[in-house]
Parts: sequence; C-alpha cells; structure tokens
Amino acid sequence: MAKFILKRVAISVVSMLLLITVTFFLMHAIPGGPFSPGEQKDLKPEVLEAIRARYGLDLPVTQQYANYMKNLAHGDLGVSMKKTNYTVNELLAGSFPVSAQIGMLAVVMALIIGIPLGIIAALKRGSAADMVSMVLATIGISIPTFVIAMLLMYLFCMKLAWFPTFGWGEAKHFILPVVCLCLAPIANITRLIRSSMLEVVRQDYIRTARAKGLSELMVIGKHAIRNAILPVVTYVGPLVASLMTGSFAIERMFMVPGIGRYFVNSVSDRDYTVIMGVTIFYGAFIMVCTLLVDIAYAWIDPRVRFDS
Amino acid sequence: MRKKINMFPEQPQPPYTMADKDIPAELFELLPEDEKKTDVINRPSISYWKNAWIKIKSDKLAVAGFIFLFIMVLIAIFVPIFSPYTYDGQDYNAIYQTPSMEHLMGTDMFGRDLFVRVAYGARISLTIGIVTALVNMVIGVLYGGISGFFGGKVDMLMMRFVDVFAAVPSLLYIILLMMFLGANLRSILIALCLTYWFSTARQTRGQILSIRNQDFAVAAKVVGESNLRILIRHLIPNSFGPIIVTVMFLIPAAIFDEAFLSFIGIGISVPVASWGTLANDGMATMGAYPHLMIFPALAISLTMFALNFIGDGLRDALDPRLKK
Amino acid sequence: MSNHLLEVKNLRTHFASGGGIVQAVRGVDIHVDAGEFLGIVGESGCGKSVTMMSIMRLLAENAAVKADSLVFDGRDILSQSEKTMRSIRGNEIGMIFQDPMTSLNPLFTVGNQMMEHLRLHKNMTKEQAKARAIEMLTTVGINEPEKRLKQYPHEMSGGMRQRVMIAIAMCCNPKILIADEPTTALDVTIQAQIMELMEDLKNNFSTAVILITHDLGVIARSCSRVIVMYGGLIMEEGSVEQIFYEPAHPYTEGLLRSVPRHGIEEEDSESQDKGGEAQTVERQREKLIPIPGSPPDLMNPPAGCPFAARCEKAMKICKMAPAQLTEVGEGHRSACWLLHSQAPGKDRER
Repeated sequence: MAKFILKRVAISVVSMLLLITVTFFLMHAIPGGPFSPGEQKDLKPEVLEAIRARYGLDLPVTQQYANYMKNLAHGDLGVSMKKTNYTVNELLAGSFPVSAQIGMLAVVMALIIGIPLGIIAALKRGSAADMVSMVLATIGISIPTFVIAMLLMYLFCMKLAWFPTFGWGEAKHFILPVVCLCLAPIANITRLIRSSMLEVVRQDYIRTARAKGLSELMVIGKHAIRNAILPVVTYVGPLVASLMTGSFAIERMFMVPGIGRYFVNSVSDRDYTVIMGVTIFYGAFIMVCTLLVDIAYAWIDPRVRFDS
Repeated sequence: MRKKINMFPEQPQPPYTMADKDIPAELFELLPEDEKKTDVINRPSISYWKNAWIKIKSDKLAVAGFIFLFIMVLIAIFVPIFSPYTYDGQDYNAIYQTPSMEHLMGTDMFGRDLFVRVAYGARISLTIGIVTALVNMVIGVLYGGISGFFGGKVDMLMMRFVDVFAAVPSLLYIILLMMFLGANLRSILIALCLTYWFSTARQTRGQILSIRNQDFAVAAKVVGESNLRILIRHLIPNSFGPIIVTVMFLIPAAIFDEAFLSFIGIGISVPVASWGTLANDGMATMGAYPHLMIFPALAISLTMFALNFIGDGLRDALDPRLKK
Repeated sequence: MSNHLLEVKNLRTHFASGGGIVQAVRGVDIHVDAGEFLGIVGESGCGKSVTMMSIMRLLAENAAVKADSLVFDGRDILSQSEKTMRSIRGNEIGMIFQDPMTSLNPLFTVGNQMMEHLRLHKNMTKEQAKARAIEMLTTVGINEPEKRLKQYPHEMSGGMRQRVMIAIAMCCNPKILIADEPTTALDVTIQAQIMELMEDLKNNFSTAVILITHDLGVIARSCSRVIVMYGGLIMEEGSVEQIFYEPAHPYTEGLLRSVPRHGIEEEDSESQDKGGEAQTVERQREKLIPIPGSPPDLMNPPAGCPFAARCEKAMKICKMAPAQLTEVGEGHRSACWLLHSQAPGKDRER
C-alpha cells in the first residue's frame, strides 16, 4: 500500500515539474509579452524597459526560470503583471473558494443522482425507468455543457426571469451554474454504473450470495453495488478535473468570480505569472484529487492494496 | 420490454411409447448412417465482422446517426459552394434577419447568412473530428502496440511517459498550445493531435497484453511464427474492434473541445466561423435574436447525438465483452 | 406423500433467448434420500446444472420452470414464497460452484462472507457466528482459521477457496449439499482432497450430496447412485456398480469408453499403491473411444432420443419417439428403445 502511494506521488511530482517547465517555456516562446511595445502603446520605451526589469523579464529565460522555481519552492507564485496590486496567491485565495463551492456541489449532485439512476436502469433493464435514464444520459453526454447553459440561461433568466443572468453571493446565483455543471457528470455516472452493474450481476459471486439465501437487498446493496461502484470511483478523479476545467465556460457565462475566469482572462492578457500560477494550482489540485481517488479505490478493492 | 411468450409450447405427441406392444417391426431396423446427421446442430457460423454488420444494421439509432452524419457531410461540402452567400460576406441592408426563404437560418449583426456560416462550421468541426481521430489512432495504436508487444523495460518506460503526461488534464495543454500557436484551425488540429492519443495508446497496450497471453498467440509462438508476424497477423486484428470503438468516441470529443475552445474565445477566431464561435456570438444577442444562438447550438447537439449513437452502436456490435 | 428428502417429477426448464425457446431440461425425475451421495453426470449443456438451479429457484428471469412435483422435505418448492425460498437456500440446501476463483466476492473478507448468512439463518450474534465460522474452517481443513477469516479471497489458493466455499455451504448444517462441478477448475491432487472432504462431511453430518460432474472418475470414487443425463433428459440411472459394470444405455457405454477407467478400482486407495500398478498398466491397453458428433440443439430438440444421432446402435424408432425410462434391474433404469420387448438383442452387430 505504501509502495503504491509512493509510486503515485512520484508520478505526480514528475508530471508537475513537466507541466511547469512546458508552460513556462511555451509562454515565453510566444512572440510578444505583457509589456511588449505592441501591447502598451501609451508608454514610452524607457518606461516599458524599466517595468520589464522590475518583473525580471529582461533576464535570459533560463535565469527567469531558475528564479521562478526558487520562489515556487517557497510557495510564492509571484505578482500579477496586469492586476498590479495583487499577488497571484491572493488572486487564487479569492477565487478558488468560489469555484470549489460550485464544483463540490456539482460533484455531490452528480453522485447522488447518477448512482441511483444507473442502478435502477441496470436492475430494471428494458423497463420505462431504464429507457428514461438512458435518454437523459444520452442527452447529458451529447449536448455540450455551454450549449445547455445557454439554453437554460435563455429560458430561465430571459424568458421566465426566475434567476438573474449574473451576480454572485446568493443562492439564486448558484443554482443554474451548478445544474449546468452536473448534467454531463450525471449522464456519465449513470452510464458507467449501469454497464458495470449489468456486468456484476452476472458474476459467480452474486450467484453464490443468492445461493446463500441472502435477500435481494443484501445481494444488490452489499455484494453488487460495492463491485459496480469501482469504475465510478476511478471516474471521480477526472470528474473533479472536468468540473474545474468545464467551469471555464460556465464561470465566464454566469460571470462567476471563480478561478476559471481568471485563467481565461490571463491567457488573453498574457499575464505570465497568473497563467503559471493558475496552471500549477490546477495541476496540483487535480493530481491530489486523483491520488485521493486512487487511495479510495485501494481502500474499497483489497486486490489493489496487495498487488504492488 | 419483453414480450409475453408461451414458454411451454405444445409438444407433438410421440407416435409410440415404450408401453406400446405393436410397433411395426421395420422401425427396429438400424438407422442408416446418413439419416442420423439431420439432428446435429447446423447453424451457419457467422464471422465477427459480418455479425457486427448485421447488428449495426438493426440498431435504429445508429442507422439514424449515420444518415444524419451523411447529410451533415453533404451540407458541409456543398452548401458553401452553391450558396449565393459566403461565410464572411456582409450585407448591412439585411442585418439580424429572422429565418426566411432567402436566409434559411436568418442573418447576424453584419448581415452574414447564418446557414452558410453553420455549413462552414460543419466543415471545420467534421475536419477536426476526423483528422484528430485518425492521427490519434495511428499514434496511439503504434505507441501502445510497441509498448505492449515488447513489454518489460520498454513498456515500463513508455507507459511512465504516458502516465506523466496524462496526469494533467489535456485541456490545460491544449489551451497553452493554442496560445503558442495562435487561434486558428491548424493550431487546434496540432493541439488536439498532440494530446489525445494517450487513451488509445493505453487501451491498445492493454488489449495487446491480454491477447498476447491468450492461447492462439501462444500457439502461434510455439509453431515458430516471428514476433512481428504475430503482432501483425494476430494481435492487431484481434484487438481492432475495441480500438475502433475508442477512436469513434474521439471524434465527438474533439468536436466538443474545439467548440468549447472557440466558445471561450481561444479557438477559431473571426471572421471564420466554427460552431463554438457562432454560439458565442449568438449568446451575446440571444435576448433579442435567439435564432442566432439556437441554430449553432442545434448543429452541435444533433451532430453529437449522431456521433454518440454511432459510437454506442459500434460498441455494441464490435466489443465482444458486451455481448448480451 | 413421498418419503424422499427431495423428489422431482417431470421437471421442465425452458429459457427464452433471442432466437426462440431453449428447452434445457425436458422432463426429469430425480429423488434424493437423506445422507445419500448422488452423482449426476453428462456433457456440458445436458441440463444437469440447470436442473439444480431450478430446484434452488435461482434461474434468471428469462427462465420458466414447470414440474409435476418438486418437493423438498415435505414442501412444494414451486409454490413457496420467495421469503421461504431464501430460508431454504444456504440454510437447508447448500450449494457450491465450479470456479472457486470467481465464486467468492473479491471485496469482502472470507469471514464476512461466511458469517453473513449464519447470522441471517441462525440468528447468531457476531461472536457466535465467528465461532461457528472458525469451527467450519477447521472442519474443512484450513489451518489458522482466525487469521484466514480476516483474509480476502485473492490471498488464497484455488483449493483453499473451494474449501471455504464448502465451509460456507455447510456451516448452516444443510440437509442437501449441491456441488456443481466442484473440482473441475482445480488441480488433480487438489481434486482428490476436495472429494475426500465432501465424503467426510457427508458421513459426519449425514448431509445428502448431489454431485454434478462430467468426470466419471469423480463419480466412481464417491457416489452411491448415478444419474446420466443427455440433451435435457435422463438416459440412465442406477447404482454406481450398475452404471459402471452393466451400463444399459449406449450413451453410458460411450461415456465409459471415452474415459480412462481407473476410478472404480481405486476405491481402496492403499491397494492401489502396489498391486494397483499392474492393473493400471493392463487398463491402459484398453482403447479410449470418443463419442463422435456433438450434442443436440435444444432450441429445436430432436423428436426422438436425443442421442440417436450419435448412437451406433440407433434404430429407426429412435428418431421418431423418445424412449421412456425402463426398469432393467433393482433401482436401475434406462431410456433406450433397445429395452423394448420387440427390440432385437443388444449385441446386434452393425
């Protein structure tokens, strides 16, 4: 078990270093920059030069990289180049809780709706309930999140005026973003659970459980579900990732002051330190989630625990 | 829903039982050898691909998906050629028109014909879907095939490399690459092709590893076939079905990602129109002119439905593990 | 009222499948007495496992079961509520299956899987159930039972898992133990140990055992009575001596010719060590003859005897009508037209 976790941590660390390096050099290889003459036409060249020197942008790229890594080791992500009064750490601390709130709500919604729906569909295969949940799942998988968001926004904000199109802070601002975010995961979880459940109920150990005289509740609720849920556990890691990245569009559309909006803005603004900071934060966050999921998997499935 | 059928149909009464005492004597003559055979199981054996073809033909949703996709391809190819309008032709006398015979889907704020723009978007989306899927299939199958086939250290190294890259969501890499390469079709294609193949590679490797140890591959080895020959003759064809299914699902995923990138403004840029850009433009004015948002949204969603139906149909037909 | 522990009359089990109705079991009579060791032998697909699953009422929804009578311990199985059936399964009838590698749930400890139905059927507390589980593991020959209880199935070998399966099936003291090909997936040496264990259990607990197998060797060593099935029907039944020394059905003869015959001579395992060697060598000279052809398609079962197409003694009548089981000796019955009074002698040359 310890070896297994250690291996996962090692892979994550290497992945992070790679991500940081690739991002850093890609970003600096792009022609132009936050303070290139083309970007800031109203400033004199001397002033620009001074600003560039202040941010260390006049140094050779390798030197900049070394400096950045040194600061990063101390947990310092630098100062925003566009929002001059903020450090990247401050920006993240302000926006992450917002994204995390919506994201977690969506994950929880997806699990508590998707899992029962998939189980019912599998157990009553061919029934009306199965058909309905499969139709819903296909819709959730086929229609892009931002299209669903647009349609819901049009219907509920513009036509029915039940919710405001933007704003933040109250419950009514939460509802539509969370609904939009959780639809696709619900669809995926429903399909995953359904197919793994269909597979599991055919297994020999289910027959054994029935032959022991266990009630159907025990056979399904204890023996089948625990096995059927394994693929979902694997999915939850990437799910968190996809909710965080999927929120790029949702946060932009509903003007949610979350981390995704900063990322998109910083990309078009060439705000080097924010791009780096958000990328590193995303990467690290997602890897921690994946790691936690792997550990959860090993906790549920003893075979993984002893394999390594 | 299952039809109620009579599970115990009337059985024909046998003409004689053991209790009968006056059975014609000739019935106790030996049964000639050639009359025995008739009872032996004689169902025609159907090949894997033929079986798959029969299955997919009977899958109504998949067939509908194929038909829709075919029409979409025709629209993508011919509408921009034969339409009197071009995707960037502006007409300030005809802005924000609602759908009419002249402009089937209406016009936008510059008076550009939306139907041509959606058809042009179909070109972009379908190109991205197909090219990405094909390139990733080649890279993924080769990479995974080599890794799984050689096994051992080579396999470990190659898979660690994939692990390291795949640990970060591909969208992060894609966005960074888009920044580097500029917002156009070529950049999106490169970005998607560089980041999508991990899953195909992993899957191919898994397939090859599991098949490698199966009896027929071992048998081929015992008979003395060379490794490469086994790979080409036995392993790749035997793992082809599931791989096709994976690749088939890459097409909608790629179209999805392009639409998403264009929607948030770092994909295809104006005046070229992809479905994502169109939807983004449409959203800005959807309070007053909802048709500008609805038609691109419909185009994306219906194409996604079609592709997912085809993918599901192919999976049911090609993946032996899911046999009912 | 019958005084058999289990009595099945004219059991028919049909499955709905995509292409039609599969008539897996087409009228089977079976009875089992307390403490009896009954063997059911036949090729795969002959209906032997389906018969057992029908008795347990454990078949999938696409199956339909009919019988003139299906009585276990004085109760009509087919009319019992599902709740009563559950109190019979695992409690009064234990069952073990072919593949011990997949028959245990990989995600729960062995102890968990042993104790859950003990607590259910016998209303035991956790401690009582644990004590009983340890006792059963010891009985089936597993060392360090306390430690094993905490282990997961994948930490055990196939033979050990099958012992666990037997312990699970036996821990409620069932009246019948149904063993569906219990040794097929195991190594030969382990096979012998498992069979020995089942014989011991039968003797010590006076549990009736129904052993389903395609291995005549296994039948010969343990069973007292044998039923031979083919194409969803019983071809022959009798004591193990009758079946092995005076087979009355060409299918049984074919089966016996197609396997090396050593089982029945080995009953006394000590004599086999020295004196048995010469015997085995002599036996090996006997030629093994496979039965040509393949079993009938039960979606369109033949009108006559299912074995007619592969039988070297088949007559015209065999294709027209099935033969009913006919007494050939005490407790020895065979379903063959050759036993009809008008039939020519058994030794007619082809």
